[in-house]
Amino acid sequence: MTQQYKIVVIGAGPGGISAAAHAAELDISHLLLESSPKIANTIQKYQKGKHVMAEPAILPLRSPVAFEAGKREIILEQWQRSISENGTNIQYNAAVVSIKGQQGDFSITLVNGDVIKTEFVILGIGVQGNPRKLAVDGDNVDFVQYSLDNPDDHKNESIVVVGAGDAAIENSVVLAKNNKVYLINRRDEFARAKQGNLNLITAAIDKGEVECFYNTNPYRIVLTPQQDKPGAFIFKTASGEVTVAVDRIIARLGAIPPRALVESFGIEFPNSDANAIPVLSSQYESNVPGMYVIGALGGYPLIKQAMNQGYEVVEYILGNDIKPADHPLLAAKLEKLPFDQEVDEILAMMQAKIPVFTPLSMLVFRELMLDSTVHIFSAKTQIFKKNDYSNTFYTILQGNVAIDIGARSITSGQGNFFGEMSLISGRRRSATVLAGDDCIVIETPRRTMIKLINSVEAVKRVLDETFILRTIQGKFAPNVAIEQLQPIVKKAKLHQYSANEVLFNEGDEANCLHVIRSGSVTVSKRVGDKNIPMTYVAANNVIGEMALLGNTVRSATITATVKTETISIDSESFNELLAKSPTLRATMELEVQQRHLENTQLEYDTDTGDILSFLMQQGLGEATDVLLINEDTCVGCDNCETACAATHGGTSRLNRKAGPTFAHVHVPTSCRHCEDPSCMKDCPPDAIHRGGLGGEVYINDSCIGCGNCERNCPYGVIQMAYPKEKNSNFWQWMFFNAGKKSGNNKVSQGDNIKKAVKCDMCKDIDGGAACVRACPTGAAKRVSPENFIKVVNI
Amino acid sequence: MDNFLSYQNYYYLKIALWVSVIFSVAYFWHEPGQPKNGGTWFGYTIGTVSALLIVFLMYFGRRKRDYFSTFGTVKGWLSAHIYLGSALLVLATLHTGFQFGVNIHTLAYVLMCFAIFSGFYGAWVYVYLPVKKRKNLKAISSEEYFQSIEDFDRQILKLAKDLSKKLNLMINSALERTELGGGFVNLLSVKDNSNLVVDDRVLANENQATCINLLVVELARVTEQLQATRLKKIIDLFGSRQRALKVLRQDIKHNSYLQLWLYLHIPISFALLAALISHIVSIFIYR
Ligand SMILES: Cc1cc2nc3c(=O)[nH]c(=O)nc-3n(C[C@H](O)[C@H](O)[C@H](O)COP(=O)(O)OP(=O)(O)OC[C@H]3O[C@@H](n4cnc5c(N)ncnc54)[C@H](O)[C@@H]3O)c2cc1C
Ligand code: HEM
Ligand code: SF4
Ligand code: SF4
Ligand code: SF4
Repeated sequence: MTQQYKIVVIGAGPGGISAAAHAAELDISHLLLESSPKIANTIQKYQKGKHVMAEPAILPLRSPVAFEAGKREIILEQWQRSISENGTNIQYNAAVVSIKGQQGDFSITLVNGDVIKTEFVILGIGVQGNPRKLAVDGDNVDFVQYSLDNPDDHKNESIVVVGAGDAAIENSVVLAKNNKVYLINRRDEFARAKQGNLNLITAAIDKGEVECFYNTNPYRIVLTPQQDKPGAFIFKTASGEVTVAVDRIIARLGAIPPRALVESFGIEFPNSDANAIPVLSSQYESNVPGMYVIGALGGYPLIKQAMNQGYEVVEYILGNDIKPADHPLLAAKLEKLPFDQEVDEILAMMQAKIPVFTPLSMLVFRELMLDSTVHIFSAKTQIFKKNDYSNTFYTILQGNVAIDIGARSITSGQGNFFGEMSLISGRRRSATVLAGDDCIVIETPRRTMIKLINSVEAVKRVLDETFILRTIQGKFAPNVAIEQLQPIVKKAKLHQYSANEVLFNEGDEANCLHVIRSGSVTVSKRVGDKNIPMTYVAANNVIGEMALLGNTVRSATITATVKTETISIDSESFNELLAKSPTLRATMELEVQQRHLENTQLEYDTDTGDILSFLMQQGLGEATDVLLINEDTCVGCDNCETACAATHGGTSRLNRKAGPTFAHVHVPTSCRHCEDPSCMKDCPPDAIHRGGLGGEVYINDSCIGCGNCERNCPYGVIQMAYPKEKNSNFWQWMFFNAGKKSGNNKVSQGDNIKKAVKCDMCKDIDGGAACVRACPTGAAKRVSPENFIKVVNI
Repeated sequence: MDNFLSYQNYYYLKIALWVSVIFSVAYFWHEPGQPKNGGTWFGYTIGTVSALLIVFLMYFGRRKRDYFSTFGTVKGWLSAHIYLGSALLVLATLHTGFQFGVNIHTLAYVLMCFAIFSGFYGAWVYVYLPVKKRKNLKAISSEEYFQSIEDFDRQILKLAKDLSKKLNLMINSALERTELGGGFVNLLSVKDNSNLVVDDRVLANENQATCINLLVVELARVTEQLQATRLKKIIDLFGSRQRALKVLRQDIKHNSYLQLWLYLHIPISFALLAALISHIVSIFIYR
């Protein structure tokens, strides 16, 4: 017999639990399906005792299930109790494999083949995905597991770990302390592992602590009831079958992202981008009528948001058009505006007036407005200044602004946007913007805009076109009317290069020039049979114009240092531009002459070239500001680290000794304030920001300690650290031995969580970079890549 | 690029020279009507300046640790410290009027000279040693040397398992009894106290030489091919190990030289401060 419900909720994460509990509360026939044996698998996998945060604090909770910040265990227990007390109907070990049918008549198939019928489906399966299964005969026994909760629970066992990634390595190494551990690797090396883990596992294998089988595939698991171990694991090595008696098998084969499954339900994603989010209505309904998406899968990365949506979505299904929980927040935001309208009306009016936002769904626009700030500026207020390092995006709701691009000022009016250049290039603002009369603008943070660009094709297209137009106008034709530039803009092309890809080679025919839109490049010349880098060119600069002006071949090779985007303009268009702006040739020729001069000074200096290519190998092509230490003057006093710790709550954000050295240049482990910071990409509370004049990337107080940024930073500069106590005064320490030495603060007592800390370029410290100012010999320096050459040439 | 000596185009060197010259000229020019000493009007003036200078020099220890201070940079302060500290040698000497004796006044002067000369030595160390240190390390960090030694040890132990018991024990003892750093004198002299045990006797194993010698002798003796390649590998590994140890010993030496002089400079400075206070107090009590 098949079961029949009104609502089936899939995934017992915070979103799903809240939805099902609300349905139970309202006495609606419902079922909650969870693939794992416990509720909230994502949260079960947090580290033991983790302090779970309830961000954003200002958002009220709306759910029959309670949630406030606290220990993981306590929250899980509370949820468990809540749902059993209010009669929530939950089925565990019930992974959904397919959904067919339409609103009013969906059939859901589970792994075990059961089919469940329902009128509505709520999907809350999160984005963590399901662990990839062993997929061998006998893998359904209870000693096969896909995670490791507490290594101390296992002593004197025989354990086989399957996998070659970081999780498999980390598990093998900790378990090897008290157990006999075998590691099964399908390949002949650990290519996917982090360097640190690679060292750990090689050492453990060399010392015989872990026995590793390379080029080996799992084959079969059998039960051995007569023997003292519960089972045996048979695998195929290059030289034949091997059988090992086991207490436990731990498979760490990674997770299958849920996207393919979700697509198989009929839900569409806007594009193939890995971070794309399904398109939803303002009531969380997907393109499949009757199928709703909530929580992390719908693009809402925090627990409280997921829970609120769980409540709201049940109401929407019942046809109650309630206001979302964030309604008061939006109302407060829009209150000061001179419009006498309801929140929804104002939002609709904004979308109508601002063309970039018109294609957005109501839900996405709401979300965007929650993240954004609305400013009412009085005339002549400076919105941002040229060379500021901010990277938010502005749209004009009313009035106009004056954009000052040096030679003259352009007026931009209602419905237009500005600030997209820095948003895309990650570089300094290229113009100063002043408010006009009666000016109301919306400021949207970078993360929100990037999410939007990745999910709404129309927005990306408009931004790209405008970027090209404004680049051409700003760089080559400030006095030419936009209409005249249109044909040139149409012909200009966007290019993407991956790191180390060559844009063009020395000696090539010159047919176009490039404006670097994001990323950076090196310019190198052939000396003998070696390519020697001579200089570095950052985003927002022009390259390849030398050959076009002189009508000759390329005089140098241009190579992308990191992922780089450029806009190319062919020689025909360029000649048109030269014809349109009479002074352009002269200014550009002057620049070219200057560059020639610099190049001849650098030419044949192999040492400089070598140091430059070393710096680029360290990924400094995407840096905007990096700490370098001149080993020839560093006396190893560690005053730089102490200064950093003393000015930053006792935890140094730089590690002087770590990091590579070449010739006299040492790159210590410290944040480089990347152009397009990877650390920002996946921060649930959006706690990582890019700041004002210095362009520093910093983490604010809303960090929830999830550790994503620590993992995402390719340069290992973020640490997770406990907060520390305030230090005693220097004189008290000196004369009365009170407290700790500067920078040696004690870890605070009490219920603390580790939070992410990193260099913030001393943005809150008068005088700037404390590390640099505390170095007695001047060895420590913060430099931006444009100045590498100067620093290297000492 | 600016370092602490050339800071702002030798700004403080220039000040120090001017101050020294002006006070010297004044010294030879002034005629107090009594033997020149610290008690004349000029003596008081230059004495006060010198005492203030000493306080300023001592205050560097505080400024160095005042990480929130925006009053110049530590580099600038060090530059001033060095040049004005050197000028002090001239000023204080003029203050004495070249009148020395066995008393608290001369003690203060002598301590000051020690402080200044230890400072000279320190400045030299700060300029010269970092370059030597880097050349010695050859762009590999000391941690990496430690790691590579660990790697060599592991490989050696693995290979040594299949050698004779006597050799195996000898190799094990050579690895275990390798010493790095150690006492004060060792540190500074880069003396290697490593040793090893063979046939229950402890032999010195400076630079791993004894061990390598013993292995080479053994290599000449063995006839079996496999054994010989094994031994050769071990000898090679000991060779690499020896080189890494040598680099590390030098590095430890450089690091200690970079720090140890401060253990003279600072206590002498405090002693000087104490003597200076006694000097000033006694002048006002016994005059
Ligand atoms: C390390 C870490 C720390 C974090 N810390 C915090 C914090 O302190 N505060 C905070 O607010 N947020 C935090 N987050 C974010 C938070 O965990 C997520 O936002 C939240 O869990 C999302 O809830 P959800 O209901 O959308 O999905 P999830 O919690 O991911 O739940 C999805 C559920 O669906 C189940 N499932 C998956 N596929 C199927 C299927 N096919 N059939 C049936 N069931 C399925 C899963 O087993 C799982 O139980 C953190 C995230 C991480 C990774
Ligand atoms: C009477 C004279 C001097 C006194 C009282 C004095 C005192 C001090 C003090 C208190 C410190 C701080 C050490 C610390 O806290 O780490 C210091 C450091 C130092 N002094 Fe002097 N000093 C004197 C003269 C000199 C001179 C003449 C020189 C050099 C020519 C010099 C070179 C240095 C150097 C290089 C440091 C180390 C800086 C550092 O590592 O940060 N000093 N001195
Ligand atoms: S933390 Fe890492 S990714 Fe983020 S800006 Fe710094 S170096 Fe770049
Ligand atoms: S700039 Fe400031 S925060 Fe960054 S490493 Fe230096 S002292 Fe630390
Ligand atoms: S403060 Fe300067 S000299 Fe001291 S360790 Fe740091 S870089 Fe080296």
